[in-house]
Amino acid sequence: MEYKVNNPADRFLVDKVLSGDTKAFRSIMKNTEGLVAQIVFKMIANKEDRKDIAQDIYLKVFQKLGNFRFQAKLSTWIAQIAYHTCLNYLEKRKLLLPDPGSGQSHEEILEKLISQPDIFNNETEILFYKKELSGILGTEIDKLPPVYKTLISLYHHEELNYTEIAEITQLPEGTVKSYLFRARKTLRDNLLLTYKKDAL
Amino acid sequence: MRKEHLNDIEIQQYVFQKEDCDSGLISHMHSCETCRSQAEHYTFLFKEFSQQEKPVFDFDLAGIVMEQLPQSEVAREKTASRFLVFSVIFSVSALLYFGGNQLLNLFTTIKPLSIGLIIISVLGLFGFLSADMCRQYRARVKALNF
Ligand SMILES: [Zn+2]
Repeated sequence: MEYKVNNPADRFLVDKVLSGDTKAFRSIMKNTEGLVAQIVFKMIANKEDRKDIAQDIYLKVFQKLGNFRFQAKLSTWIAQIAYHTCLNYLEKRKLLLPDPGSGQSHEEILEKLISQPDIFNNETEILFYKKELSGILGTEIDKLPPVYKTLISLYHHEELNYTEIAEITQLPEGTVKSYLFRARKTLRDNLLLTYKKDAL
Repeated sequence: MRKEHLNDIEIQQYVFQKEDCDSGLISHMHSCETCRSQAEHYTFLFKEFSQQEKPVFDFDLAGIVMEQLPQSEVAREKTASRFLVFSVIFSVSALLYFGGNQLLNLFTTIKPLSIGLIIISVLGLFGFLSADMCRQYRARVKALNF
């Protein structure tokens, strides 16, 4: 996908809002609401808080629109505001990345599971796992730390590239990659653990 | 070709960024069933992930936010200018209809000094309104730029 920073439709809408046509802001919202929802749902667990935060995000976007310089896509810039608004909320409640000490007890079980010559013992087991996966996947995603959930969703669901995710989160690209590696591994390990536990 | 199994980062790299993998890593993957099975697991898992339904807000976010924004200046100005044009046309028509004759006599009876006064007042009023419009516009731009 080509990375178009200076989208003429974005510029048209932004100019309209800045020249006093507030109604054009509705179009901006409609174009970006999906991406904002993805971030808010992954970062914020509480339903009521999601409503307040989503409004807060777009009111900030409206107030700051005059500062937008078209150095990124409008959607990326709005996603950046969304991500940081959620991050501030989480920081206030200390609900960020997992405690590095936690999950250590799982490590040994996982090592055994993963170091098996095959993750699954036979074809039938693979089939069972695949059938059950869609059911347990949602629950296991929910259990991930908010930042991991968001990164995985932006990459695998919204199909954004590392550069765009780095812009949204304002993290170095290398950090985004290494967080993504860890997030995917955590998700895979947790799924295996749940599945194996259920299968036993 | 690599003899030892790939680590998790390399397996993920093979699945999600194959273009960044070196040939040794790829050829090991082709010949090693253990590593391939781990890679297929990631492929399958994230294919399933990408097919999950996308979240949507279950309330009218755009509606709620639009209510909180200042009323559209363009819409307000349009309504105001339409009202102004309409009232000017109405007043002029009424004046011509009811007092057409007197109006014709006005310019012959009125003193040149009074005409001068009227013109100065009209120009003054026009200047004041223009300055006010400029001030409002600057304030609006400033409000959006903080
Ligand atoms: Zn291997």
